[in-house]
Parts: sequence; C-alpha cells; structure tokens
Amino acid sequence: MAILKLDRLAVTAAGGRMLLRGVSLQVRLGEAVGVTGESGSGKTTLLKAAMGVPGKGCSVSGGSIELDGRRLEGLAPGERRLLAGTSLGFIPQLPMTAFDARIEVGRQMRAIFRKRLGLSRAAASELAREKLRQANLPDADRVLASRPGALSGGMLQRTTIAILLGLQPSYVLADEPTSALDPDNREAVVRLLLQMKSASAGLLIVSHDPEVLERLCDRVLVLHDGELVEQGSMAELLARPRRGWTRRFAATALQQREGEWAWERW
Amino acid sequence: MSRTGNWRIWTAVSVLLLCAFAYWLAPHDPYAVDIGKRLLPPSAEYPFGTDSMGRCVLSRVLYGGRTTLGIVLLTWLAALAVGLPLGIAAGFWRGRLRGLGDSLLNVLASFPPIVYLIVWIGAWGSGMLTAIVALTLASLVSLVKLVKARAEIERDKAYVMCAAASGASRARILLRHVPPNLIREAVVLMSLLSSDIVLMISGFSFIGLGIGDGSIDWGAIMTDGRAVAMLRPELMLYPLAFIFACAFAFNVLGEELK
Amino acid sequence: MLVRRAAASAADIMLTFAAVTLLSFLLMRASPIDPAEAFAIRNSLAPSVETIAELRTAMGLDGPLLKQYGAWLSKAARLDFGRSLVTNKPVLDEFAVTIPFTLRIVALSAVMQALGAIALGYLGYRLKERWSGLVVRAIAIAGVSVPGFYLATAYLDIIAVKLQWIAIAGNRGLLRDWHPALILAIPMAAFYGRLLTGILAKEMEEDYVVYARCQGLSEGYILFRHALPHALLAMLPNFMQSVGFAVAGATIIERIFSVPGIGNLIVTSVINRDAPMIHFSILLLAAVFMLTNRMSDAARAWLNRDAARRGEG
Repeated sequence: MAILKLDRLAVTAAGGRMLLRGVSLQVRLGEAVGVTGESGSGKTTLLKAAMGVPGKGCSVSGGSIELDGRRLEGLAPGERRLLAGTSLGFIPQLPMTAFDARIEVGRQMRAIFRKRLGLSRAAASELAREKLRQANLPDADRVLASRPGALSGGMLQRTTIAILLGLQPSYVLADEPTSALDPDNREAVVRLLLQMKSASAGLLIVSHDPEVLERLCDRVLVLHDGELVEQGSMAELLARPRRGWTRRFAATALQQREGEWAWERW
Repeated sequence: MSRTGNWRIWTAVSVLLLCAFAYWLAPHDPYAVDIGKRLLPPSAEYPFGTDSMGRCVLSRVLYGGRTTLGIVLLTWLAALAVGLPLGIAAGFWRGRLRGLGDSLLNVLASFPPIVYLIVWIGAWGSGMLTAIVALTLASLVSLVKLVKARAEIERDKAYVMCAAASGASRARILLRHVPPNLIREAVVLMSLLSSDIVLMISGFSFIGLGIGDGSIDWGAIMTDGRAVAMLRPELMLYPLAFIFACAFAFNVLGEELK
Repeated sequence: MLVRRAAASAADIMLTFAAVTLLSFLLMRASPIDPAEAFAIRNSLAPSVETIAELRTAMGLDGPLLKQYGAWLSKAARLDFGRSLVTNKPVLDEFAVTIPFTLRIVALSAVMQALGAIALGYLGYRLKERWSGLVVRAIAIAGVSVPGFYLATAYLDIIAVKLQWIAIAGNRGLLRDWHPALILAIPMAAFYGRLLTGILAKEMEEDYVVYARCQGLSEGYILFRHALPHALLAMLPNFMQSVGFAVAGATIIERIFSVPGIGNLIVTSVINRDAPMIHFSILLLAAVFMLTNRMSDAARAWLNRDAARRGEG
C-alpha cells in the first residue's frame, strides 16, 4: 500500500494547548497534496509531526501516521530516524539556516550521503556534484566548496532539493518551500518539485502561495485553528470558497493571476 | 519559574533560613571552654561531641551559621540598597567620562570577590567589618554593572518616548522606566555571588585571614578540626556539611530563579 | 583604520590601568597600616616618634597625596616598587621568583579544566533523559559548592599522608604541580561544564539541527560534530577569563600545598601587613584580570566577525 496516511492526527503543545485537532489526509505516490491556511493554523505543526521532529515541548497526542502501511508514531527514535531522508524527505522553509554555518556545504552533503547511503567519500562527492547540477546549479564545485553564508537563499534551497534527489525518498514534505525566495528562484523550485512528482514521489506541500498550490497540487486542504475545514482542488476552492479566510485567499489568488501584486498578508 | 522548580527554591530558602537561625536551638554556650570535657564523642548532651577546648561542636557550628549568613545578609542589604539606585543612575548618566567609567567598571567587575577580600584584608587587616565591606564592594561592582546595562536599554527606549513627550512628563517617563525583571536578575546575581562568598569566608578563616577571634566561623572550626583529625576525623565534616549546604542552596536558588 | 582602533584601545587600557593604580594607591594610603611604623617595629628600631617621622620622609610617605602618587608613579615607571618590609628585598624581585610556579599550575589547571568541562558538559546533555544525567548535573553543581580549601586539605591528607604518594616537601617539577592544578581545576571544570550543558541544549534547538534530524542523522553525530564545536567556540571568551579566576583561586590552594607561587606570597604579605608587597599584589592581580579580559573581548569580537563574514545574524 504505497500511501502516506495521517489519520486524525492530534498534536499538543507544552502548555496543553492543542495545535492540531485530529487532521486526516492521504498522499499517494505521484500525487501532490497541498496544505494551506492562515498563520497559526497548524500547517507547519502537521508537517513536522509527520516528519518526526515536533517542535519544542510538542508531542503527538492522538491519531496515527502511516507510511506504506507502517505506523510511525509508536516507533523507537532509532528506527524512525532510519526513515528520515530516505523514505520521508523534508524541504525547509528557511534554507539560509538549514545548514551548519561553519562547515562547507560540500562536506555536509557528503556526510549525509555517506551516512545514509553508505557511499564512499569519492562516490558521495560525485553524487553531490551530479545532483546539484540536476537541481539546476551548474557551478556545482563552487557550491560544494562554499559555506552556506556565501550562497543565496535560492541556491541553498536548490541544494536541499539536490540532497533529496540523491536520497530519493518516496514522499517529500515541503514546508513553505518558496516563501523565502524571489520569483526566479520560486520558479526553479516549483519546476524541480514537478520533476519529483513526475518521478513518482508523493508530495505534501505546505504553502500560502496560490501559484505554487495551483501548479503543483492535485488537492488542497485548508486548515484553521488546527482543524481541516475545507478541501478540494485549487479550481474548486477558488470558485467556491466557503470560509472567510479562503475567500480572501481566493481573491488574492485571482488578483495575482491577473498580474496584480497583492501585498496582503493573512 | 517552572512548577517543578518551585520546590527546589523553597527547599533552598528553607536550608538557608535554617542555617541562619538554628543557633537559637544551640544546646550550649558555644564559647564555653571546659578542658575537662575535651574531644568527647557524640552523645545526648553533646550531639556533635566536643572540640579540643571542650566546647560543644554543635553549638559552635550553629553559631557559625549565624556569623556566615549574617555577613551574607548584611552584604545583600548594603549591596542592593546602594547598587540598585547607583546602577540606575549610572545607566541614565549621559555625561562625559562615560567611556572611562565603563572600562573601569568592567575591569573592577571582572575581579572575583576573592580579590576584593585579599585587597581589603591587606589594607585593613582581617575582621568582620573588613570582610563585610570587601564583599559588599565586590557585589556592588557586579550589581552596578548589571543594573546599569539594563537601565541603559530602558533609557534608550525612554528617550524615544520622551521625544514625543515634553517638559515635565519627560522626567516622569524616565523615572518610571525601571527595567523589568530587574529585581529578579539582581537576586540571581546576589545568590550566585553568595555561594562564592560563603566558600570564601570559610576559606579565608581556614588559612588564618578570617573574621577574627571574636566570632565563630565554619572555616575556623575546620582548622581546629584538622588539628585533631587523627582522633576525631568527623569534626571537620560537620562544618563542611553546613558550608556545602549553604553554597549549594545559594547556587540552586540562583539557577532556579533564572 | 586598524591602527587607529588599536591606538584607541591601548589608550583605553592605559587610562583604566592608571585609574586602578590611583585607586590602589589611595587605598593603601588610607589603610591604618603605617608602613614606616611597621618597618621600624620589624627591624627592631626603637619606634620613637622622631624615628618614625624620619622613616616616613625617607619612604616618601609625607607631603600632599597627589605629589606622593606622582613620586610613586615615576618610580613604578622605572619598575621600582619599593622593598618588602619583611625581607628588605625589592618587591619586583620577590614576585618575579614566584611567577613561574603559579604560571605552571595555572596552565596545567587550564588544560584539566577544559577536559573536565567538556566531559561534564557533554555528558550532562547527552544523558539528560536518564538519571545518570541528573547525577552528572548534580556533580557539576556540587563541584562549585564544595570549598576548594577542603578539597585541597582532604586531598593532601589522603594522598600525601595516608597513602604517601607524594612527599610533602621535595618532589619538584610537573609531578608536584599537577596536584594543586587538579584541585584548582575541579570547581572550575564543574562551573564550565554546567555552562556547556546549557549552551549545548540551546544549540540543539537551532534550525540546522532540526534539518539534520530530518536527513536522518543521529543525535550523537549531530551533537558531536555540529553542536559541540559551536558550543566550544561560544564558550571560548568565558574560558579565557578563567585564567584570571585561577590566579585568584590559587592564593588559598598554593597556601595549602605550600607552593611558593604568587598566591602564597600574597597571603604571606597580607598576614605580615607588608604594605609595598600588598600594593604590588593589587596591581598584579589587576593587570592579570585586565589582560584576560582583553583576550576574552578579542576572542568574542573575532567570533562575531567570523559569524558576520559567514553571513549569520
């Protein structure tokens, strides 16, 4: 059963507050599901809980996470770790802080490939170089030799995708992958994600960018205050938005489509 | 303050209060010498036994608590009473010589309390007053540095507000801009310093530079105990336990209040 | 540009040190110890009023304070800090002999502290879920609550007397130094170990750690290869200050171990109320602390510059 399934997932924060109140969704291979909603609605919490890295003090308090039929939430940390990266990939929101700032990107990539794929040092280097090029970074050697601070956000985000291209996880969880990027880089990332999708990865994408959701996702879920309140394809949501937030979201999306810039933040 | 941290704070405070005031419960006069009763083992009459001069060790240790924690208390009072207003004033000071004052303050604040003790005892000889003055000065410098830094932040915020206000209300804004959490941070600083202070007072008494012959101090009791360690090894351990308990309690207090 | 900053910094140091010398001078003059009287009594001269007055003039203790300070300052500039009231030898010489002893102990202690702090700090974090972690953290707090002088005496009594592992007198060189160095290091290792655990805990909440976990890297690997180097660098400025603390702490330890170092000499001078020696002690301690402070500030500035160059906040 090749499916990533979240069944009534609930997450509680340190003080007892419920961040996620029983959300269910499914992602199949080759499918892309979007998650959107206003800030604080629990989108990132959902993703991180599925990934196994809930925030400080947070914990999964109910429901289940199933990866290809296997229950994740009860696994020992050591076993769960084995799935990270190779079965479940992650794309961070802020690529600038995703890497250790003191170490060259190449060394960090090599370490990941060596430890997770068991490659030799030379093989890991070669894989890194190859995947960086595949991720649209032709000057791979420069990227490998640079520290994260010397690279732009767009380049770093493409690097994180390059790592995923190397690890080839079946499912990719993306936490607002384009929100920190400029339009050109956004375009590049969207294309790469489409590539991954056509290579049969299952994508779960959190975003508030209507264009990203429309181009990538087959279905979009809207969260509000930790609950799933609407879902459907982007077309459906835009045509018949039900809630206040979704209506504003739809309005903004349509405005963007018509080429007008809306600086509204919801 | 976390819920679990609370019990640690109260335990620490209780330990300190106990050590400070337990001398009320002392069974004997701590100064009463009785050569005939030298070095008795622990008994109902003398729970910790007697020392080489026949004095009740328990009573001496309890009175030692009064001495040590009395010094600490006086240091707290003096340092806070002078340091808080001085620090706030220094933080709001916009006069010249600020650069030199800052450097000097930083250097002075970097000396640990032991240096102040050495210097003051060197100039004025050992004694209770010298110790209190030295330790107050040491605490004062660190306290003023802390308070000044916080006050400077508030001052910058206050001046922004003052720019919008005018005349008399300026003074009011300045005065009301007491830094938040300041008391708590000051208490944390004093607690952690007090741990050092307890260790130092005892340490200096131990090597003979202590409070003076009049008062009873744990360090001095340990010196006595060391001399007879062959016969009564535990005589060093009673005061040690109290020293440790107080230093530990102050440390816990400082950590938990952070 | 760099030259200008260095010059300003040097001027700052000189002025601050001058202020410290003035303060210490005033302190010594204000103290009730009369060096002339002490000298007279110690040298068995009949301390008549005239003798003392003569001595005072000879020692430069009369006249307006500012003039005295000026005189003292000019002599100090020539490295003449007077003579010990006890031995009548130049103060500088007396101290010069002691410096190597203290330096060796402090250096050894620094190494031990570093190792101890790293071990305690690392274990304090690594084991934080288990009860052994609690034990480690308790040891760290206990380490700073046990009086150093007790550790020193207990150590001496057990190791030297009972087990006869070291001869109390004799035994020069490294073998002799590492005992006081160890005792000196224990409370400081505990202190820095605790600090390190806290810094590690904060570091392990950083974004890059979360992302590394998402790549499936193990906690131990992330802690050791990423968090620890960051934490150690962050602690570098603190650690430089520990040298100053070590020199100060050495006073009691040296006394107990009978090491002829700076600390022991300071205590002796204080007990003897040897004013010129005490005055120099103050200056020496001040100089040591100012030096370590500068090193610490420089380390911090270098770390910040490095972070800025790498594009961090």
